[in-house]
Amino acid sequence: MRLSRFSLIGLIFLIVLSLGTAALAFTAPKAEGLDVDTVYSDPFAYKGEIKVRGAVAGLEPDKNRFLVIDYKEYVACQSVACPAKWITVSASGKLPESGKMVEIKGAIEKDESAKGGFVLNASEVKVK
Amino acid sequence: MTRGKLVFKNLTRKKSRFLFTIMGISVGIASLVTLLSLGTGLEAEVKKQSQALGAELVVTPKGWCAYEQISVLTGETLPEAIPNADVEKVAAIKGITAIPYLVQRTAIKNQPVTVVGILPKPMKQFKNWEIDRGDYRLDQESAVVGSSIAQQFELKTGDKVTIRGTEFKIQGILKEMGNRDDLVIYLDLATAQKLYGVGDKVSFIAVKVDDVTQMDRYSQEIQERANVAVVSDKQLIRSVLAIMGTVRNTLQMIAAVAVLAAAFGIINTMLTAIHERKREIGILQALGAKRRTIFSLFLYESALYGLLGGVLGLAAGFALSFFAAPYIEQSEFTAFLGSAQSVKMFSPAVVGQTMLFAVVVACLAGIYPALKASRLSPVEAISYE
Amino acid sequence: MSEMIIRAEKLTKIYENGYSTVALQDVDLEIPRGSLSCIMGPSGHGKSTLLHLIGGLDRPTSGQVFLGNLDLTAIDANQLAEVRCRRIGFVFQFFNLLPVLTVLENVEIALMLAGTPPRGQREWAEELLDLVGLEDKLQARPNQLSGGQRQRVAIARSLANDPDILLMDEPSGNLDTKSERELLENIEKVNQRGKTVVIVTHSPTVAAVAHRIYYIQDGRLQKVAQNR
Repeated sequence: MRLSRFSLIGLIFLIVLSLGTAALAFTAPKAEGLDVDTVYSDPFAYKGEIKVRGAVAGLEPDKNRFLVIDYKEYVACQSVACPAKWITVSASGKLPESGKMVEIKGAIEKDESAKGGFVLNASEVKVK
Repeated sequence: MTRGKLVFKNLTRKKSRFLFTIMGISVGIASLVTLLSLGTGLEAEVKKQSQALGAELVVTPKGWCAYEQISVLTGETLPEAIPNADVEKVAAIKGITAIPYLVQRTAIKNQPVTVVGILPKPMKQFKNWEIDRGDYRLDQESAVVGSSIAQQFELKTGDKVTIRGTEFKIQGILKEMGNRDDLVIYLDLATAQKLYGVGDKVSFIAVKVDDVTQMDRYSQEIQERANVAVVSDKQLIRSVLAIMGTVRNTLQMIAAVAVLAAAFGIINTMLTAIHERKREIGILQALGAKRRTIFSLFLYESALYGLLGGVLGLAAGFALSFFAAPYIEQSEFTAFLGSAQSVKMFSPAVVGQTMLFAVVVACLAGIYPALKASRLSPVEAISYE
Repeated sequence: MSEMIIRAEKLTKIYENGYSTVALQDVDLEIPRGSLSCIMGPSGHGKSTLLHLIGGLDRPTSGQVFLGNLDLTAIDANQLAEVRCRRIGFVFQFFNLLPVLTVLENVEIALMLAGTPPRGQREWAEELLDLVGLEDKLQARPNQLSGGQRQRVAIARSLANDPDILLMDEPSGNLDTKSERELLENIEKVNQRGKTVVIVTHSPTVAAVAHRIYYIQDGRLQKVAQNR
């Protein structure tokens, strides 16, 4: 049984590899962070820097802002048109494209002109 | 000398072929195990949460999609859409208990926490809650919290939590329920409605009926009186499973294809083995082996492939569910079920079903080769070189 | 004359492989119990076919084979397997042994097929291997043995279920002179224990020890010679 120990390791490796690839095939772009709906409920409960995930639903390039909607809701309905809640993100630099999944790091700031009376002042926007 | 020994020696004589065939089966079985453990875990979780809700019927605003219906079970924030007037209309129906919920969110130490606005008295009765510490008082400045929340954030009675900028004193901590109720801050309904600026609306109404055989009648009556939709707890579970369906179907396809490929792998391996061992079959026949003996020797070989492949596949499948499931869930399942633990490990039912399936498939795959071997004429087998 | 253990009457075998080949035609044959007989003749003239027919490995196109009073042409495949198991032992020219099994296991397997429980198999198998002088090779694999040793294992195995008859197809066909002589010694030893032995052979050395020699040519029995 010289061969078998070596082969067994190879075998297990191959099984994990093949199944892992299969599993990855199911993995939609994934983002981590707090959900938009969650933060929206009580935005000022969050102090300092937080990470929020969501789908980009609209752009306000003149104000350097964009809107994100709830990640799960987006995954569930595959559309950015449906929700009643969103977070306004104030960002510097290039704005992400509409429909993209993003992870945003930033802090909540009061802003009566935005929906819910707050904006998420982003220090970093990562497109997934 | 026993048949088992002979079968095993024959099985392992070509080590690489043996291992590759086993691998084929293992991959098939592993994907099956992954599928099963994902599915059962999820189903169990949904059932548990629906039980925790304690209602036979859920009254929701009209036009809610499955995602929102399921959020009833998972404690996600819900749009508030049923006015108090409708709540009262529903509550007025004889033979039912109606409990309104307003589900919102806040955060403690930047971690999201569910806030539920309730009618204190009916809710306590409805849920059979007991107080662990402090007392059960909910008003404009008092809140009651679930046991897990208290534990997680080290909250004591008398501590303050700030929700939407308003401070609340924690008056009581509930006894552990072992479900999602433990993860919630409870507020008085009217207070919560004002706090979140939702007017006189609630998210949904949980309904308990006195006579479960009359469910359809109650459901109809509720919809006649108020402008709402009604789902039963069973329908809720069904819509969860329907949403999971797409993911499961794909997984099922993969598992089916993999198992089928493995079955062909067994057939192929066995046919090759029989071709190589034609002469040996002849010897066995000359020694007086009957057809059914030859048949069973080769069938056992296939079955053993199924058994060994099944064991290895189970191990790989559980490992995969454990390591890869979070990724699968992230994209599809958790979208609906929050942080629900959707993988249930080492369920005896999964193990039993899988092993049975592996062996049955291997046996079915082994029938044709074994039949072929047993039908060889002795002279043909002996004269073969 | 002693009792006939094997009787063949008008034995004919025609192979149909798209065209007909007559392998044996109208062979009448009688082999006495306890004898040592040879079947000789040119290659491809039906010797092995005759051996297969009288051993119940194959069925004749027409005619009958009797083993004692049992008509082998009248019983089904399972009963025939039973006959091969308990009443007949076979030794072939090549590849008699199962390569994955040890020498001991190769003998035990014949006992297993006859339904002997594993405990009883070992002792008897060792005794048989002792008889053919291979008591020190019990755990060897067939590929570690010489050709002569392999044939001796085959003889030991053919005796496992105490058969009446031993049928051998060119048992010394690929052996050197020395191995052939050793093999013959074993065969005679077995014959002296009362087993009827029938050997298909080309070898004059083998034929020299036979009591009777049957000559087959063109599928027909040409003559029977008595040695002693």
